[in-house]
This record gives sequence, structure tokens and C-alpha cells, in this order.
Amino acid sequence: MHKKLTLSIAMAVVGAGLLVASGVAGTASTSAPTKSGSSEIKRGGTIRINTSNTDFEFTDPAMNYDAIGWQMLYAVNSTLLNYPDKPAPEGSRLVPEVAVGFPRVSRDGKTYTFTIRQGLKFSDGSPLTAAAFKRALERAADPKQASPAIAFMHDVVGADARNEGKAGSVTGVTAKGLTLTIKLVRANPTFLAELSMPFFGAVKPSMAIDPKGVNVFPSAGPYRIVSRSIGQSLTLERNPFYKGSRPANADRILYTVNTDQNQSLLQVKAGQADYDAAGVPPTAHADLAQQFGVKKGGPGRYYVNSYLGTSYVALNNSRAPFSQLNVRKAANYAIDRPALVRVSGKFYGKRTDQILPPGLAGFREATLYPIKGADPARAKQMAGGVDNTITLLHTTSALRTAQAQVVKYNLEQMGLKVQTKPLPFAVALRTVSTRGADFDAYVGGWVADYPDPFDFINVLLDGDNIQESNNSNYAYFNNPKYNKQMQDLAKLSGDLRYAGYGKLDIDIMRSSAPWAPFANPNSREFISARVTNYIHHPVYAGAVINALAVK
Amino acid sequence: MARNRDLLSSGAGLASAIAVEAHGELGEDIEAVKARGYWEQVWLRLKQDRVAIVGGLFILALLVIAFAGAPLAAGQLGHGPNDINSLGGLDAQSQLPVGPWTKVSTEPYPGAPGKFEDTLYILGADSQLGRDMFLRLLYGAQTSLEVAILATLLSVSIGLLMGLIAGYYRGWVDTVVSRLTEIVMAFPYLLFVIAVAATVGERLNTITFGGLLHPGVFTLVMIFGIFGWFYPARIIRSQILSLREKEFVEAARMTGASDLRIMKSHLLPHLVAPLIVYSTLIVANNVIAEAGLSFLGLGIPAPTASWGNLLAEGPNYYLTQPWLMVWPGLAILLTTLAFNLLGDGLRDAFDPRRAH
Repeated sequence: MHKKLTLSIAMAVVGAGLLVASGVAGTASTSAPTKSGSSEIKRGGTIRINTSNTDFEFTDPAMNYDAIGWQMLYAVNSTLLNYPDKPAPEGSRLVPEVAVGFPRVSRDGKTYTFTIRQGLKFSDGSPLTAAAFKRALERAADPKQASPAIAFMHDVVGADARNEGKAGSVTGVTAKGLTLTIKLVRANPTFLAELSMPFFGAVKPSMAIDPKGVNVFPSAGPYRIVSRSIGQSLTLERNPFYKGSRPANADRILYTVNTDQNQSLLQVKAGQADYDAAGVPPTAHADLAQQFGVKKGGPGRYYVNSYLGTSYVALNNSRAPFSQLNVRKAANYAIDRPALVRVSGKFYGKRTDQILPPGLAGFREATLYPIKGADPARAKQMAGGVDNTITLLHTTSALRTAQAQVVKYNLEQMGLKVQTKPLPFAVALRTVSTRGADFDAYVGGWVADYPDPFDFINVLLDGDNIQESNNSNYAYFNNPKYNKQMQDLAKLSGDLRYAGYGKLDIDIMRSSAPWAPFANPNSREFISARVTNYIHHPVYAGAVINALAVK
Repeated sequence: MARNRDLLSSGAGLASAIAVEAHGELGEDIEAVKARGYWEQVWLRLKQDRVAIVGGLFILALLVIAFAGAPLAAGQLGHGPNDINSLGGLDAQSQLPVGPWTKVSTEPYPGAPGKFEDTLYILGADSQLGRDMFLRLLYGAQTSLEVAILATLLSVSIGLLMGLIAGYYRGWVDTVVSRLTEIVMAFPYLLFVIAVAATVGERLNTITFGGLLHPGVFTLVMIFGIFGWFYPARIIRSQILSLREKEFVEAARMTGASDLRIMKSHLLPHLVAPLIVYSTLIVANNVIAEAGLSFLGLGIPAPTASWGNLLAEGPNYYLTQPWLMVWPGLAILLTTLAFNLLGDGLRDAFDPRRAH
């Protein structure tokens, strides 16, 4: 008995010793204070990010087309040219990433030749060659993939033919070793910006075509996706084969999806989570500003930055009642823009009645609709007694829910009967991007993919881009006259291009009113006390998550 | 003696019998003690329970305030419960809902043409939408009470029917009803609610019987009714199993009374007491259930006010405007307490063993 007891104690001591040793070893392996870049930024640890009220719609770069997804893909992807992990203005200027330098462009501006850096590898150790980008372009154009990226590929030779099933591949793209050649049907001044979108990041040449999107795949950016549990979590880890200069400070970035926004705020305050990619409840901004001060970058906890974006009510032009021009115009008189800004909390942004945001090349300020407040009497008169019951779709976030309530109230004042339909972000996006889906209006927003009016006007309103699913034209606006004008403007460059887009913005809103735009919002973000190195990315309108570091 | 006979036949029981006896012995000059009817005795017992009376009065007052007071208050204040006032209803500095007893401008935007009167927000604004919390609380009472009372009527009616049939007929009928009861009890009710909300919820929510009910009330009434009948059914069944063996039922059967007549005229009156008591308790439960489902976003759709909806807004402001959780929370607490106290009082009052 005594011997057994002694043995038990000895085993317990050994066990405890092993536990302590493994704990120490674990700590050492995850948070060794090796320094990277700045001498004050530590590498290691885990960054915990919540995405409240939603999961990622897709993690597949060919499929994802939302701000939360692109923020994550920015850390995972590697593109030929990319925006540096820096605040504005450097953060909005393209620099070579996987490409050795800027491409060689033929005299007629129709052939781009890229040379890929040598020795780059995917996160599984396989070599990265030009074939990685050819595959990305092929996937985006493949009709089975149904990628929203096709809207940016019309100028690539053979992309439309591939998308329509008339060709087996995109004939204008050739990959030979480390050389990638892309031929365009016409010169496109924004082609490099378009090619730098996460859609066209390097993917393995064997990556499958899957309209549901591939969840976990080898990537070539600072991080790699190691697991995804739909509806629950997404885990990124530092890419062991990454040789670039972009920061990758934390060992691991752990996303918890579908969290409650209020609870998430408490978690970030308490340091149990580090950041909520879906933002902060609209009611919390005044308090956060008072408690932590308002910063644009650098040390701090609460950050407010402007970005190129527009919040709007997409009016479904493809069905009654918003197929009628007078009803769409009436909606623009009915919506109370100041109220929509106020209900969104402090620092939300500035009201607008235009498609293009101020600050974007070509933007020209105009007075089109009542911007100081609603004009329900005029709206009702313009609507001409319309009394349809409409479905107003919005996401379940507190912000969009509050905005949808105001829009409902305003549209009911002009005679419509409004049923609101709140859906989780990813589901709402899938619904509004599917042609023929059952909705009449959608309260949403758009963040510029890159700083050019094409990305607002053509991407969101060119009816020729409408496909069965994954549309960005949530208003299903399809006006042949404007489609042609948009496509003609896309071919121009310089002042002529921007002046043309500025005029078109005003013309479309004044004459056709496919949307009821209401605000140019700010990015309002809050981080925990345990992380540092917040950088607001001017293009992706959020924190650079690969730069965030555990203190 | 005709008077005495009347007394005896009135069914007043032992008390009247004693009175008759005493009358005979004590002589003609002593005035007869008037026998009390069953309901009178119940009322006398209930009257003595002051807590139950207060509960009952609270419920009465709530019904009057909710259904008559709310429209009157809206008329007096000059705005409705769903009217958005994000300019006056939000504090200009913090852009958060104004607090209780605030005079609020009704100007739609600064410098709007025309003259706009100020209005009083007695309990402050409800949320970022700047709606009147006081009015929303009153209209919310309408919604919550509509759901609670109608769902109770439905579940008790189904329960009564099922329990009566099962207890009276016994045999295979009882087996079928009892198994059905168990199935319903074991059904994952919350999952069903989520499924209903995600599928046909929108369509059901539009059923308002020409504006008689608030949107979403019908859906909740159906759900609570369908999933709330098994407790009354079990209680009624056990009562009937006992009652059907009594002599008065046997006598009725011997006189040739049909099953329907026996159930209607001889059994049902005995069930009134437990049904009333149980109903008050179910109403309280339904008030809480409505609040719970609306809090989860599965109940009454926005912008219709219900106590659950109002409570759901509260957590957004728990640090800055905690009273936004207090008002609907208090309303739910007091109402469920009142129904429970009344239910307890009625249970005691219906119990003949309890002396008054």
C-alpha cells in the first residue's frame, strides 16, 4: 500500500513536471519575442477576430466579393501587384508583389507581360509559377465557377468566349515558366488595378472548379487557411514558405464567426477577442470615442477613417413597383438621409444622393434629391398612388437593421407597404446577387475594389454583366443606353475618362435613379488592449489583419 | 317551509342544512341565514386574498391602459408608436436615445419649413430610431396581451377537448390522445419555431384579420396554442377519469343522457375552476414566451412594438441607457407576477376546504 502511494506521488510529480515543461515549450514556440520589421512589434501569439452576425460567404478567392472576405484574403493571397500594408496614401498605390516589377506593356496597350519572382512557393511547399495566375484567371472565367470576377474580365481576349462556353480556355492568357502574358481586346487603363483584386491572386494550377467555392487551399500570401468550420470558425496560420516582405506578426489568426455584436464588443473590451471584422454596434461609437479617443492609426484602440464607399438602397429595377421610373425617383425623395446617418451612430459618415463617393477621381457634387431631409409629400405625389407590398431585404447587423427600419418608414410614407426581411450577411448577399430573387429593395453598401469610378458605375450598374448568380448589380439596372456609355467610358483614360464618369454618375441618378444612395460611410474600428500595430487599409477599408501584433 | 325547501334545493350544502335545523329549534322569530351560492362563496374567499385582488386589479388596469389608454395617449402626444424621430429622439452630442421626460422637437430636419411643436417623451426614446418609448410600451402591452390571452384560449380549448375525450372514452381513444400528448411534449418546440420563422413566418405574420391583430400575433398564437395544450389536456383527463365514476354521472347515464350531454352538462361545470386557475398561469407563461421569442428575433416583426422587441433593444444600451431594459423588463415582471398571484388566489378560492 505504502509502495503504491509512493509510486503514485512520484508519477504525479513526473506528470506535473511534464505538464509544466510542455506549457513552457508551448509558450516558447508560439510567442517567442523574435522581432520583425519595427523593433517594437513582436511576432507570435494568436489574434482572435470575431465576425459578428455572419460567416464568410466564401473563402475561395474566385468567389468571395465582400469586405470581410477581402480583408481576410489580403492576408492569405499573393497577387502580381498589390497594395502595400500601409495607410493612405502609400496603401492605395500598387507595387509589384509576386511580379519582379511592373509589367511590360505593348505600345498599343493591349499586351501585358509579367515576370514572376523566382523561388516563391505556395504554403504547401510547391513552386509558384505563372501558371498560378493563369489558373486564377481561368477559374474566374469558367462558366461552371460562376465567379463575380467575370465583370472585370471582358477586356481579356477569350474571357467572354470561355464564360459563354464557346472556348475551352481563356485564349488571351499564356503562362510559360515564370512569364505570364495577358492579351486584351482593347487598352484598359485600370487593368492593373483590376488584376490586383483578390479574385486574381495566385492559386495552385490544380485548384478545382467548384461553384460552392473551395474552403481550404494552399496560398502564397503571408498567411494560409488551415481550417474552416462553416458557421463556426476559420483559422489562419503564418505561411511557413512565405518569403515576401509583408508583415505576418501573429502565429495564428483565429476567426470566430456569427458572434453577437454586443457580446463581441464586450469581448474586445475585455481582451477576450481582439477585433470584430463586422464592426461595432452603432450605439457604441460615442462611448468608445469618449473612452479611448478617436485615432486614424498608430497607438490607440478606436479608429475612424474615411474610405471610398457608398451606402445605398438598391431598388430592384427588374420588377414592380421599382421597374417604374417615377417610383424610383419618389423613393429618392422619400428616404430621410440625415435620419439614416443619425441612426447609424456617431461618425457614420456623410449623406449623399450620388453613386460615386467624394474623393474618387471624377466625382462632381450635384444636388439631385433632398439631402437635408425627406420630402414625403412630394414622394407620395410622384409615386402616383402606388400601394404595392414590397420586400425590403437587409442584413441582420444592428446597423443595417436600424437603417432598414428608417427606409421602411420612409417608403410607407409614400404609399408602399413594406415587409422587412433580415438575413445574415452572407445569405443576404447570396440572395440579392441571384437574378430573380424575391426582393424589391436592399439596404447595403459598396466599398471600392480599387480607386476608379469603373468600380462603382460599371461594376454595379452595367446591365450587360447580369448573370444567373453572383451579380453585383443588386438593382438589376439594365439600360442599353447607359450600358453603352459605361462601356465606352471604360475605354478612355485620363481627364476625359473621369469627367465622363462624373457626368454619368449625375445623369444616371437624375434620369434613372436605380438606387437611393444615402451616405458615404467611415470605417469605425475598435481593437483590444492586447494587440497593437493597427493599420487602416485605404483600399480594403479595414484593419490590416496580418499587421496586427500581440503586445 | 316552502322557503326552507327552496334553501335545501338550492344546493348550498351543509351550511344551509344547519341553518334549517337551527331555524326549527330556535323558533320563528330568528331570521333565516341566507345560503350562499357556489360563485358567491368563491368570490368571498377570493376577496379575502388581498394580494390576488391587487393582481386582478393590475390586470384590469393594464387591459384598460393598453387597449383604451394607448390610442388616447398617442392622440394627446400627437405622434404614433412607430413614428421615427431620429433628430429630436437622439441626443445631439452622443447620438444616443434621449432619456425619460425629455421635450423633443418634431422638426424633421434642422431649418425645415413650417412650424413644429415639441412633444414630450415620457420614458425617453426607444433606440437609434428615436421612437417614443412610453407609447411603444403601451402598444407593446396590446401585442403581448393579445398573444398571451389568445394563445391561452387556444391551448386551453384544445387541451379541454383532448382531455375530455381521452378521460371520458378511455380505451384506445385515451391511448391515442395520451401518446399524441407525449409526442407534442417531446417535440423540439424552439427548433419548430425557428423553422416556421424561416419558412412561412413572413406569410403568417401578415394575417391580422383586417387589422384586428398586430402583425405576427397570429403566428405566435398558433405556435403557443399548438405547443401549449398538453398540460391542460393532462389535467382535464385526470379530472374526468375521476368524475366519470361519480354517482351523478351514472345517474345521468341511467336517465338516458347522451355522451355529449353528460360531458356538456354534468362534467364541464366541474372543470371550470381548474381551467380558470390554469389559464391565468398559462397567460403569464405566454407573456414571457412572447418576450423570449421576440427577443430572439423570432416573434413579433419590427416595427410592431411588443415587450419582447423592446427588451431586445435594451442590450445595445446597457452601459449608457440602462433604463431601456428596465421599462419592458418591469412591465413583463409585473404582468406575469399579477397573473401568477391571481392564479394562486383563484386556486385557493375555488378550494371549498379553505374557510373564509
